[in-house]
Amino acid sequence: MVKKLETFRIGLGVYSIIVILLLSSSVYSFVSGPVMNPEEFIQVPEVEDVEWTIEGSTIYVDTSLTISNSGFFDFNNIELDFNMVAMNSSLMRKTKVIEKVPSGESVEVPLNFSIDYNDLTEEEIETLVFNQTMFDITASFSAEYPFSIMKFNLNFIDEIPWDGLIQEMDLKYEEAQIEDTENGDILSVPYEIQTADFLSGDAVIELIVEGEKGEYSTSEITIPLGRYHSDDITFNIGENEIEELLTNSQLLTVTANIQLNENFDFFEYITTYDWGAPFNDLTLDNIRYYAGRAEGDLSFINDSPQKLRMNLDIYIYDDSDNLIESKSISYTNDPTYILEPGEEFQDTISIQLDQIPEYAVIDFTEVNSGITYREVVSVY
Amino acid sequence: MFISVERVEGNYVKAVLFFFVYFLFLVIFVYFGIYYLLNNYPKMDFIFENTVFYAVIIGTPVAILAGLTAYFSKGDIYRLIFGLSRVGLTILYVFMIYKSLNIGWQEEDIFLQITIPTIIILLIIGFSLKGIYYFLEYKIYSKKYERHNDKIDENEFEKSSYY
Repeated sequence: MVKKLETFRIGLGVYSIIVILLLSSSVYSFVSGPVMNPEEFIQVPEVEDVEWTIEGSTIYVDTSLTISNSGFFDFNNIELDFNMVAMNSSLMRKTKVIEKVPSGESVEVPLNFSIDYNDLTEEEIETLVFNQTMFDITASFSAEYPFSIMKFNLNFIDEIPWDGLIQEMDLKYEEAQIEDTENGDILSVPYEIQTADFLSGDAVIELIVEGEKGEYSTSEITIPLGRYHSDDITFNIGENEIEELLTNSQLLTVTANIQLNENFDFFEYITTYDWGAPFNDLTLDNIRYYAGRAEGDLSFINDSPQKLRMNLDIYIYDDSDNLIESKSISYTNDPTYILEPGEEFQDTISIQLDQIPEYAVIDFTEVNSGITYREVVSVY
Repeated sequence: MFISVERVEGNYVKAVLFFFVYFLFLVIFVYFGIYYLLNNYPKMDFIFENTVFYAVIIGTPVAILAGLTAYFSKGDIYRLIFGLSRVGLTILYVFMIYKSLNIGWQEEDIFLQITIPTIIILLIIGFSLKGIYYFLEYKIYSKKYERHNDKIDENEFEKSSYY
């Protein structure tokens, strides 16, 4: 009996040694792996590892994460639970089960998900198209060592940045110009646009310019997708609208309706701009005929962001519409006719006359653009 | 194998040795182990919640009981009592230490939580077997002592009858 008891005691000692070895090796294995080097243990995708594609109305995201097992034991019963959140809503939830990651090996876990444009709200679409956002991947990873010696649960958050489908769209209003062309007066606005590099083909953009007096003009441009592009948008402007834009600073609203491909609806992009008129608040006041001389007080502010070079042509007519006198004043002769942005112009224009005038026609020519604005006033 | 069945007087040296060995493993190592870890990896401080407290409060009595168990000879009822008490208290020690550990790791975006259920079960099984061992040891050795004592008594009786 004593011998059996001693055998039992030795067996107990061996058992204790095995348990201690199991405990210390699994703890060491685990501490040296997931605990001390969690980034090596699970390599979450970097920005450059994420591939975005767009097909029809669906945006596909392909990436992967790698689980490396540098410990002594295999990882078994691995369960990965992913939840992708963007724009405050869960876009995808997926569970992946991996039987095992053998000791000393790595396993790549593909992460593929898709977002259908038709499943999104208008707000989400706007965010996806125009804004930068983050796709937050919250992952729960559970695994165990053989015989459940050790079980562990790892929660991590990974962020995949989303730069938007239209990453930059800039209408350079400060460089906008009104020009006199063969086809009439145009408003030319330089623009630059940068679209996501995974997009291809062309996009159609319809633009509408609106001001205080309603719609001023419309235009349509086609831009190549997937790269940076810059050009000028030209709006044909009617006579009344030109007058408005030359003499009345106002808030302009440009609505761009963008269609990325035939599977997408139009996205609306609205910008506003405080349009600065070169002859803002143009006033011709106190026009009078006195002692053989016609006089008038002229004032305005150059509200445009560009230097104004002005020529003034004054034509005086009698009551039979006969030209009785004319006068030209050019910025080349009179430096006061060159106005810096924001500078106010005030002058009294005077013309010596032999006959009694009825009315005057005054042409304001903005030399840079060649645009002429005509004012007809009675002389009293 | 020669196995002595002779009951010996209490062994102080063995008792003190066992006390220190147990105290070293259950209290000192735990204390300095945690001290070392927290000094080198301050982020780990959330792992240990009252661990040192339980190590001292339960580990010290376990070490004392180990010393007392070692002091008494095999087959002695006190060895059985202290041995079983030590096993029971060691199970409590393991359980409380395990409960006090929030074994995990927290990085900026990573949270790791670990459980070691099988190891705990294996340890409890081991301690239970040790308890069974003490019980069997007492049963076997106490009978041997009885037989040994009976034999001595018989011899003395025979001797006294002869004279």
